[in-house]
Amino acid sequence: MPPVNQGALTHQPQAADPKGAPFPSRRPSRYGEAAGSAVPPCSAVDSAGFPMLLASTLEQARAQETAEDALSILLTLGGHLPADVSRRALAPEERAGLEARFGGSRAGRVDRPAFTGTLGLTTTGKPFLGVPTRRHPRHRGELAGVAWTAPWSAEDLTAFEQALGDFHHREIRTVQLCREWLRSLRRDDLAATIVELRDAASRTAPFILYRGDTVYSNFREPNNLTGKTLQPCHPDCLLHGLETLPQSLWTDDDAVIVVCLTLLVRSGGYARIEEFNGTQLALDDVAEFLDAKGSMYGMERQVGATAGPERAVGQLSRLSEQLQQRRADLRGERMFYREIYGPVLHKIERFAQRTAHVSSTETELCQGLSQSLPLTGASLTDNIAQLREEGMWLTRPHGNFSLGLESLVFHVVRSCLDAFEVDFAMSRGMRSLPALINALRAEDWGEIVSWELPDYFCCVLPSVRALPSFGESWETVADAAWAMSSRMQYNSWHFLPGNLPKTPVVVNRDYFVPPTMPDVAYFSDQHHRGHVTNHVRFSIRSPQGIAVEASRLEGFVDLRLLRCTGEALTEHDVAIADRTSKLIAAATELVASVVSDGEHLEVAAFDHLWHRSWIQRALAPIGSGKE
Amino acid sequence: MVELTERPVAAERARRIHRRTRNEKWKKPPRRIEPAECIGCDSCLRSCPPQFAAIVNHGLDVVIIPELCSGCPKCVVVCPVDCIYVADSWAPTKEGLWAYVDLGRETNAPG
Repeated sequence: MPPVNQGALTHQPQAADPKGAPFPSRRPSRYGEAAGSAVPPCSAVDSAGFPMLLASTLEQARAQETAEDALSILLTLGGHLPADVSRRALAPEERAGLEARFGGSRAGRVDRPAFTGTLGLTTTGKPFLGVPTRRHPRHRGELAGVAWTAPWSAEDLTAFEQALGDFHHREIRTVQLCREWLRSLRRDDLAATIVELRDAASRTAPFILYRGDTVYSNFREPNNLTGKTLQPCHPDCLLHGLETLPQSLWTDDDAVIVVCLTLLVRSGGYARIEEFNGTQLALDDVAEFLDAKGSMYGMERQVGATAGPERAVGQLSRLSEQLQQRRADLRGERMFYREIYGPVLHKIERFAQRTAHVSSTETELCQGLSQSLPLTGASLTDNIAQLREEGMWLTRPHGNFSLGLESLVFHVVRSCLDAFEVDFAMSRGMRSLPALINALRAEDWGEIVSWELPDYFCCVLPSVRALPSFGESWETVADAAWAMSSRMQYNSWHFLPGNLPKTPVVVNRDYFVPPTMPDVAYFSDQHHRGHVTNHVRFSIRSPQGIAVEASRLEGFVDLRLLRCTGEALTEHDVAIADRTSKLIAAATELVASVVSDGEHLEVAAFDHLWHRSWIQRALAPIGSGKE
Repeated sequence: MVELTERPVAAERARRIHRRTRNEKWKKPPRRIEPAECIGCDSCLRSCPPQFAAIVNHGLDVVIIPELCSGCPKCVVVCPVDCIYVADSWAPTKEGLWAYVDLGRETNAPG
């Protein structure tokens, strides 16, 4: 097909003046100033976010009356995490100690302790239980602090010795099972498995996994997995060289980790690994996880399948593959989503409950849309249908916008602020659908991967509710909104190549596997400095794919909602956000189809000047800051 | 040890890495990225001229290695949030961070 009318991609950053004239800052609060000319700020207090959470958790634990109560605080990071996640983070000796000393009811205080163990937190947020065989962390620097000491009775020691023996027996058997299965693989299959795991680590969100006391992470120190910091060829990466090393030279950890990660990936793709973030990678735990998934997906137990820790890896591998297939079938029927626990990046997959009625949130949202857009449906589903029938207004100027699609994005985002009672709402996409369609038709993957952040957009709108979190300053809110918009442009830049054929020019590009599932996150204001600075505490992300020409582009648009304070967003909110982002995706697809027929339509709004102008008009009369 | 037999600009960069020193002929001070403001988009990293290649990822942070940074404005121009500042005073890069420099180069080592 001939190329559509494209024009030049007009959203490249201006080239620097060769005579050295200043380049304008794009930060809203520095309007009119040269980029790079501001006085550097005092360095941010590095104790914000996660270090502050660790300190407050320890303080809370120390204030408790008993060791048991202190442990409850540590296991939940002061109410920020399900206790089960932290239990699964404990090393084998600690789990044995947990069973022996803290499992079951106690007869009373221990008058003559046979042992005293500490309770504390490590710098990664994992609880630390001092036990007879390991009284301190392997490295002193790993301990964020000690909260309590717990006296043990002689009976506790006996129970500990028994539990520890059981753990050691299972670990020996685990290593045997893993090595047997790895030896059964053809050399080429093993090499392909390693390459896939390396790709998983590079192409998805960061991992933090434990084997005993050892942390495996591509997110912060010790940085021993490939990711943004370590290139795949770096010798520090756990997976370095495994496909060429004889298996006899693999460590036990190498063998168990490769098997566990492979089982997880086979059961649900790369992102499945994140459902073990912040926990131990142990074959028993993976087996238990896979069984739980089978129950969740309504699968009957395999005929002849054994339960328990002696199960062969081959059996688990078949179960993983069945889970992957069953999950794919279910996704056509149910809305899957994930919960994300920000402090340890742990993810839990869920189904949303089905509901037939239209909630008050959705009603309010639709009413908001009907006030500004030609959408009269009582539900989002009705509005999507109406758009597909009568959506040509999207391709023409509408309201203050040069393109109806811009108007729809703006009004959807704006209506979400009050309907969901959030501090920020946003939606991203690509500016030039003509450029995209031309590149897809020409299979010019090099062109697509060459595009930069300004070739994408994200409309970010703050509510007046956001002002108190930013010192009542509309300029600070505008800076935060533009930072979010820029980061979302990066996300679009990062995801688009994940949809393309894996030619060398694509493989050599930094990209992530595009998201296909919504999520709701709790306490994300912990690690990423931008999240800490901009108070990204509770959020929903709802990505959608679109069909363009013969291609399916996953994660092409999304809707995100953010609360800086208050209560977490809920599953109910996720379901409505999912339908809302489907509305945006339907609109984008319609415009793309018109572009395919030859019209030149681009999104011009939502740059830094647009954000500054809109936010100033909306918030300056209420907040403070320069007019 | 990085090979010193490459093209002149690459060899010059390799020498700076080996010696952990900044080029004395560079008149401008290096730049630094303010971590609290950085959005981690790597636009600066992609725009840093290859003869300098002074910007690396370190965990969640994007970091400018001052010994490799000439102070040119290429990164400033592309940064969407204006978080890159002149570093009139700077501390030598810690040894642990040098391990992450130069990882984009191809090696014959297995992946």
